[in-house]
Order: sequence, then C-alpha cells, then structure tokens
Amino acid sequence: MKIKNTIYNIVAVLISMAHFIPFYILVTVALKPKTDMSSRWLFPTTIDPDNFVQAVERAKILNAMRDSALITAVSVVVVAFLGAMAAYPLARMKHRFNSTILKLVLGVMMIPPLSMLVPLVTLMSRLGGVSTYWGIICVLVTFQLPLSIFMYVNFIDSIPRELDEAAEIDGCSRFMIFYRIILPLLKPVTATVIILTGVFIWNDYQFSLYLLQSNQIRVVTLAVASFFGQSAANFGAAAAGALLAVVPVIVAYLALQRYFVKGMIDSAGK
Amino acid sequence: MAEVTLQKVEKRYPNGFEAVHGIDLKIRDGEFMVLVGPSGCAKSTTLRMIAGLEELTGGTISIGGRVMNKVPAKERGIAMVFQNYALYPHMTVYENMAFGLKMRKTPPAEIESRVRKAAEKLEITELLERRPKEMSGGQRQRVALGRAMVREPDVFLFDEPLSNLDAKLRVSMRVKISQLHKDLGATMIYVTHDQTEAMTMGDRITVLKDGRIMQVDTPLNLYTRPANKFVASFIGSPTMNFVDVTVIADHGEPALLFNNHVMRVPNERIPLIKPYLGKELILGIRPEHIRLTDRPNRSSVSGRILVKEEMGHEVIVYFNEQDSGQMIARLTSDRGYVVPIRDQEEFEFDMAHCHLFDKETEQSIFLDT
Repeated sequence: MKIKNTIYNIVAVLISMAHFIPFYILVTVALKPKTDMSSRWLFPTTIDPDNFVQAVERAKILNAMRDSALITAVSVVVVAFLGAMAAYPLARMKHRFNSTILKLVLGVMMIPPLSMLVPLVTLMSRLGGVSTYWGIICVLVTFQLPLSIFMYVNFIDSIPRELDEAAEIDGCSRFMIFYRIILPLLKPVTATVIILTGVFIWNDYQFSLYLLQSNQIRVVTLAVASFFGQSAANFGAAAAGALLAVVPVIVAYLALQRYFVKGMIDSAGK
Repeated sequence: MAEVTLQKVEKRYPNGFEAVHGIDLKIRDGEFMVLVGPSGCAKSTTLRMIAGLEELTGGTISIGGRVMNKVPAKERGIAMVFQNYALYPHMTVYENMAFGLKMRKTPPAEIESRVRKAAEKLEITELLERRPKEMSGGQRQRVALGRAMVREPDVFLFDEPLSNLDAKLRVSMRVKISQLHKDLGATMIYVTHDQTEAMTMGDRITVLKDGRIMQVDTPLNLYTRPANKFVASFIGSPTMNFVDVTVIADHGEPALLFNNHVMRVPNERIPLIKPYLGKELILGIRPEHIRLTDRPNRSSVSGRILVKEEMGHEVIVYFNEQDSGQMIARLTSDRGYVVPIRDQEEFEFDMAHCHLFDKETEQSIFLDT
C-alpha cells in the first residue's frame, strides 16, 4: 500500500511539473527584458514591464481580451442553455428516435472541425457572418454543443425520475419541471460545461483565424499570434500577452472549481 | 375522498410485453388498500397508472366516478409518496411542502396554514427550514408524507414508501401512516412487497402475480382462507409448508396419503375431497399448525432437525421428512418457554387448519366453504 501511494505521489508530481514548467517559463520570458540573455529557466533579477507594454500597445491585448470575453461569455451561455434544454428530453424520453439523435450528437464529436473548415468559411462568407460577432459565436456554439449535450444527458440521467413525477403530480408542465426542478439541479455540470467550453472558446485559434479576418474584432489568440512573424518573433511580448490572456481563465476556474469536480464525476455516467 | 375503480385495466409496452392483464378492482371510499406481490408483479405499474404517470393500453380507471384515462396526473386529485422520497433537493422542507399548492395558485396565507398544520401533525416543524440532504431517511419520509397531506387529495398513493428505512424506523412509520389514515379517513392505496406491512396496514389486500390479481380480501381472510397456492405461500412468515398428497379411501372414508402417513381431514371437509379420490392434491400447512408429539402414530411424521432458530417465545424448526423436502414448524410452549429440541423429532399436523389445493390449477378446494 505504501509503495502504491509513493508511486501515485511521484506520478502526481510529474504531471504537475509537466503543467507547471511551461507556465514558469512563460512567466520568466514575459518578465525579462529583450536584452536579458540568461537562461529562460532562471527567474529575472529585475522585472521589466516592457513586454506587457508592448502587448497592450502593439497587440492591443486588452481590446482582444474584451472581444474574447464577449464571444466566450455569449457562446458559453448559449451552449449551456441549449445543451441543457436539448439534453432533458434526450435523457428522459429514451425512445428509438432520441437514442438515434444522441448517437448522432456523439458522432459529431468525433469529426475533426478542421475537415469542415473550408465549406464552413464559404458558408459563413455567403451568409455575411465573416468578421462578425454572431458569425464566430454561431460556429463556436455549434462545435461545443455536442459535448455540452453529452455531459448534460449523463448528469440528468443521474437525477431520479421520481422528481419529475412528483413535480408532475404537483401541477408542473413539462417546461416547468425542467425550469423549476431540473435546471436548478444542474449547477455542478453547468460549471463543468462553462469551464470546458469556455476554455476551448477562449483558446480558439483556428476558427478565429479564418472567420475574424478584419481587425475590428480580434481575439486574444490572434493578438498573441501577431508577435510571431515570418522572419522574427517577439517571444517576450507574446509571453506577456499570453500571461494576461490566461488570467480570466484562472479566475473563472477558481470560482467554479467547487462545482467542477462534482460535475465531472456526475456527468461521467454510471 | 373517493372511490377508485379499475375496470379491465391493461398495460402493454411497445415491445409487446404485457405487464397488466385486465385487472378489475374496486377500492372503496376511505379504504386502505394494499397492493402486494413479488418483484415484477406490476403492483407499481398499476399504482402509476392510477396516478396518471403511466398510460393504460386498455380498460378504464375512475376516481370518484370520473373516468381518468386521459386526465393528467395533476388533475386527478391524488398525492403520491415515493420510495426514494422524491423531495426537491434545492428547496427547503417548507418549500417542498408548499410547492404543489403554489403551482395551484393557492393563497399564501392558506399555504402557510396548511404547511404548518401538516408539519405539526408529523412533528417536523423544527425541520421546515432544512434542506432534504440535511435530514435522516425517516425525517425525509415524513416530509414526503407532509407534502402529500397539504394537498388534501382525494386519494393517497404510496409506492413502497418504507423500503429505504431501517427495520425499527419502518415499524414506527407504519404506525404513523396507519394513524394518518384513521385521522384523515382518506382513500389510500399502498404498494409494498413486504407482506408484514400489507398485513398490518391494509383494510384489504390485493395480492398480485405477473400482472394478475390472485386474491382481494382482508388480511385475516388472506391468511386463513387463501384462494390459491400462490397467496398461501406469499402471505405468512415463515411460509406455509406444501406437500403432495393422494386422496385415498381409508376404511371407506376419504383421507390423505403422504409418504405412508394417512391423514384425516375434518368431517365437514370430507365432501370437498371426495371428488378427488385417487388423485393428487397439494396439502398446505402453516408452520404454527405443526406440533411435536410424544406418541408416534400413522399420521405423525418423523423429522430430522436441520436448523432451529430460537426466538425466545418460540422456536422455528427446519426439518426433513424422508424425501418430502424441507418443512418448517413454529413451536411454542404453553408454559412460556420453549421445549428442548432433539436431533430427531416426531411431528403431527393440525389438520383442522390444513389447506388443500388442486394440483393442476393450484386453486384452493376449500374456497367455497
């Protein structure tokens, strides 16, 4: 038992290191001036804000964060609300049609989004959705909905059906059962959906690159990418931009962490 | 309060499985009817059809004389208590109890008064601000009862409400529900697989098997006059003993032959077994109708004791009689203590209390007496 625990602890430390080291290097690179040629493993002796200034002034990272926040917030709300609404009948009415729909939803999750990129950009261009908020939100929501539906279906499955029946006898309509009884119980899985889809949308690069072609709307990933040119790259400013961009994600995670774990476990299915 | 009538009620699922086969049942106004039977006998399905949670595929269900087949659950004038309590986890006890009334747009003052009254009756006033997860199983079940009570329904439906409670709590809740029935005088339909609950609570009991009614009667009649072998075996603990017997003529009178033992039935029942002369029947004898005897005779059986369970006021003895399989006797002493049991004992059956079932139909041949 002791050996087993030691092995678990070593593995846990290794996994933590694998996540922590890149973040540490990001911090050191972001804080060092361009002239500091010391190893990136070493923490800077003097902290230089120049990289952050460049990130804000040249890449307009704060504007990009505002745009990212808007796109992420709207997308996540739509993904969570539509996901829960779609999942409720799929979880509660297990007939052949619904199980086919559920399989279809799961099937969609297996398709790599890149394979649809060209027809998708063409379609959005025809619909006038390129470089618009609604265009990018529609695409991101579409690709995040299957995961959201899948998680909500598994979670709703774990809620006793008798609650619906008790509410039905108490006088609720189907919608009222969902709205008054089921929806308030979805807090843990909603936290998980918000974090998973939120992080994905915040970090999205591929859809943003093709669908946000003008400079009017610019998300954080595009802003950070602007420091990487064909001939040269400004690693310090890119790292500073990335460091700023990651702050909202960390805050959101810490705020929802309590529900996140419960949601992950409960929506993992029985 | 209302009478509940089931006429030729059927339930067939889309896959063709027929769960309920044309049940006819009348539950009187103010009656406590228990639906009892083993798992899969469709007792819960029947209850859910009465509640409107399950659709009928045939027949009619009426509550208070009104056909309810197409009436939604909320308009049937029923309240249901579920096995797993089904309390809304995000609401307090008060909110749980008030929810149904709120949905019916009952004035807030009346909601308050009804909830407080029910809470007092069930001794849960101090729990009103708690959430379900902060309460024990027994407290939750009382809240579930309260939620049903405040609705003041015509019919209370209980779906195995005590199954999740421990033995001691189950007994006290049993008494609580019986008291409630006495106080409210409401029609109550109670589903259980526990025959002790059925026997102690029901005015009448409906015994179900495979979606068919086996017998509807008072607890005492079910025990003393079971209509068939299934009811005889289902009601009573320890269960009734069954042995195959042949009806023979013994000195010109019909008697029962069992492993070379000749047993006589009471005189008034002789005409009932006469038509079965030369045929086989199933003899049923309850464990308390088997006693020890010091004088072996041609009707007594010799048994090798397998297990004895000393209960203090009685001993449950499991014994083997030749090839007839295991039999159970419940032995008590008039003197207040139990006699010592040896490894081999002589037993005799109290034939005045025996039951006889047709070998093919398994119906009691005494039923019409």
